[in-house]
Amino acid sequence: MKQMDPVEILLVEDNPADVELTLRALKKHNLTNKVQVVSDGAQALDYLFGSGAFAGQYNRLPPKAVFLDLKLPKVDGLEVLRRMKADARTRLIPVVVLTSSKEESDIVESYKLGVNSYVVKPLDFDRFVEAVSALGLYWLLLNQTPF
Amino acid sequence: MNLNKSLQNIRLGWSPFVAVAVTTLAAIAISIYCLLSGWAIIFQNLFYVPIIIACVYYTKKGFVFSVVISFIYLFLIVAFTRDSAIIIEALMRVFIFAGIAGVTTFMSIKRRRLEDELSQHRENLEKLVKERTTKLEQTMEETKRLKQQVEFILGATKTGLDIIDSELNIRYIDPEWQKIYGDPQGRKCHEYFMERSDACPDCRGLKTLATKQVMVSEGVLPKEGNRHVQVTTIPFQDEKGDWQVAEINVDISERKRAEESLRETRDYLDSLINYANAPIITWDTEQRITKFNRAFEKLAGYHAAEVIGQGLRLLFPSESIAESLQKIKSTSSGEFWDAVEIPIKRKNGEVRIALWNSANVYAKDGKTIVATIAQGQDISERIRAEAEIRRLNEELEQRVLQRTAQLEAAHKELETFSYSVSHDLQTPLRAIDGFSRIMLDEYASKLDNEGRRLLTVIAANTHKMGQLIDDLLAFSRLSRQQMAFAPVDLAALAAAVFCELKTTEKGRRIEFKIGALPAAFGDRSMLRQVLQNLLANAIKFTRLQTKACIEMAELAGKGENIYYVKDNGVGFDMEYAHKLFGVFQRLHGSDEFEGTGVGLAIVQRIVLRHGGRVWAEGAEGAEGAVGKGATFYFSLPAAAKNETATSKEKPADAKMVK
Repeated sequence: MKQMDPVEILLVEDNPADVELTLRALKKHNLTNKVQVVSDGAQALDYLFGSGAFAGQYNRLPPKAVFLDLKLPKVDGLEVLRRMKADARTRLIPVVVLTSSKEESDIVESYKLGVNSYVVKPLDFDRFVEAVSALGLYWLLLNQTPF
Repeated sequence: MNLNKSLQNIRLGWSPFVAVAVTTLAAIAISIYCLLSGWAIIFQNLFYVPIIIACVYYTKKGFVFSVVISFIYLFLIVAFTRDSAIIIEALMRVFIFAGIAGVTTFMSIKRRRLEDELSQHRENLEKLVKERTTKLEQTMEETKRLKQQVEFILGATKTGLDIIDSELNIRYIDPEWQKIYGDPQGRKCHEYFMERSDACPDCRGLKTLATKQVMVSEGVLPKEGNRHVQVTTIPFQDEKGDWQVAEINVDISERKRAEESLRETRDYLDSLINYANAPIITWDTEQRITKFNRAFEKLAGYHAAEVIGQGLRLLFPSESIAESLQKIKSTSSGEFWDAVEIPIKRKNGEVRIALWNSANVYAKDGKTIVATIAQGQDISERIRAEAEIRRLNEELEQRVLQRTAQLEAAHKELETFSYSVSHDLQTPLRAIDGFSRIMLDEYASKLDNEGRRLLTVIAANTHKMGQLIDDLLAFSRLSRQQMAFAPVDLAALAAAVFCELKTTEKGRRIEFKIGALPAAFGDRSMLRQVLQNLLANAIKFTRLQTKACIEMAELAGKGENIYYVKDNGVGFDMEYAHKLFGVFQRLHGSDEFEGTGVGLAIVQRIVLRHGGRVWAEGAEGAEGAVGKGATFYFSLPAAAKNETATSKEKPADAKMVK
């Protein structure tokens, strides 16, 4: 991905296998190829706030959605979510938590922090592909963003 | 007067008249004879006889008679004599006669009077004497009676009376005593009473004679079987001025017996107090110890002799002395203790705590306190035990807090573990499944059938693993969950669950009949899980039927509501019914029906936590074909008992899944 190209989805996921599968799923329905992948929470924040490795890239359109895994190294998903929703610059960006955790505490906490959607990654590959496609379809094509 | 005396001696025994008459006649006769014979002198004295007799006996009349006789004499003389000298002598003699008559008469009169007086006196005297005699007799009677009475009383009361002189000779022994001891026979006191040959060493008689004072003492009479007497020894002087002692011996056998009995009772009571199990102490109005029993000796380490007469202070440790004395004071104002704690200081300084009851002893008036008695119970051990218990309780609380903290920590750990498990185990699984699927999809052409089959196997197993993990997580979550009790409409819940499940079973004819189900009281999500598992099973195992019939209804039960889910599916062999609810236990192979074998275990766990029970009936059909179906029952306690179910329900235990 070229850095200057508008990014449609910010995928925050540490597991490379999951990353690959997700990208494949998105590609399958030709939903997009404008996906920025970051592998931990700190990088995600850097990207969103234009700091660290992504310094100097602040002035651009925000992504149409952030697919956020919860279990992340360095800064975990909930913290990223919190920071995003706390900051006016990033509050409006739709966040979809995409995680294998079905724990009620995670779900409740996420919604408390203002998550826009919470999806549990199905184990079954077919279902997984379906889910990701559906998400892509919805958030990229159906949903209207404020930007 | 000699004349009188001699005259009185002339008692002729004849009547005086006769005497006078005779002598007069004799005198006259003799006079006449003498006159005739010429002897004038001899006969004149004869006339004295009748004169004197007459005057003596007839006084005044006698005098007159004497005068008459004198004149008769004169007449005679004159008649028979002419001698003037004799006549003159005779005249003179007449005067002499008169004189003598007069004197005699006078004296007779006097004598008479005197005699009268005398006889009057004598009469008086006799009267007096008679009176006196009567009185004396009466007195003597009286005295005799009194004496008899006294002797009777002495005898009846066994009071002995004896009088001993200064030589210890017996002067008097009362008759009753004499009856017992016999006649004194001149024996000395000690010989008679004590059968001693010499005086008793502490002889009362001698002592009293020495002091000249009344002495009261006690003695014993060996001769009468050692009868107890109280002897009052009284020294006195008799009419001669000699000192003697009178002894009054009062029988005091009864008194002695009573004293003895009293002493026995007192000794008995003293023993009771002394040997009683509890420490007992009494003190007087000055707070001095008057009684101190053995148990108290043991408690305080003092001998009774060491403390009796001492003040109570001695028993109190200095720290509590003021307080204890205050409590003592309260008893003297009439209050009594009922389980009052007072510490006691032992002789060796050690302090023991005791619980006291007290009571006041009143004088006869019922108002004045004479003494206070207190009974205690050494509760030092109890207090120590209480302190120990308290300490142990505190320790226990500490430990409980620690344990709770530990448990909570363990819990937390477990949660994180489960969380990890769920997330970290599943992720690679997804990868395996995903990539093998990609392989199948995109490289199918490059693989032969075997290759494709192998990949399919891989995919199937990852699914299985995923399922297992899910079920495990569900099961473990179950134990940790807190139950929230509320009324649950099972019928509605069942319908909802069935709807959900049915959506995944497209193309199948499944009929679900719900009967009237009594309202349940329990945790909604958990009960939902139960229904989910049971209905999912029903749906799964009826897959081979053209039309699946699932039924849920109520069964009558006492004190509990019994629900059942019945299906017309493949059923199961009743022989293995007991394994049904075990974790990971399956009665069908995975090639027949998928499943991890956790579903029913979860159902059982939930129902048990609600205080109910589960069981199943099944009838296996022939070799996998149309079976007789299975019925799964579960009971929940009836509404009223459900309230208590919360207390019966086990809290989230940290039990790991079997």
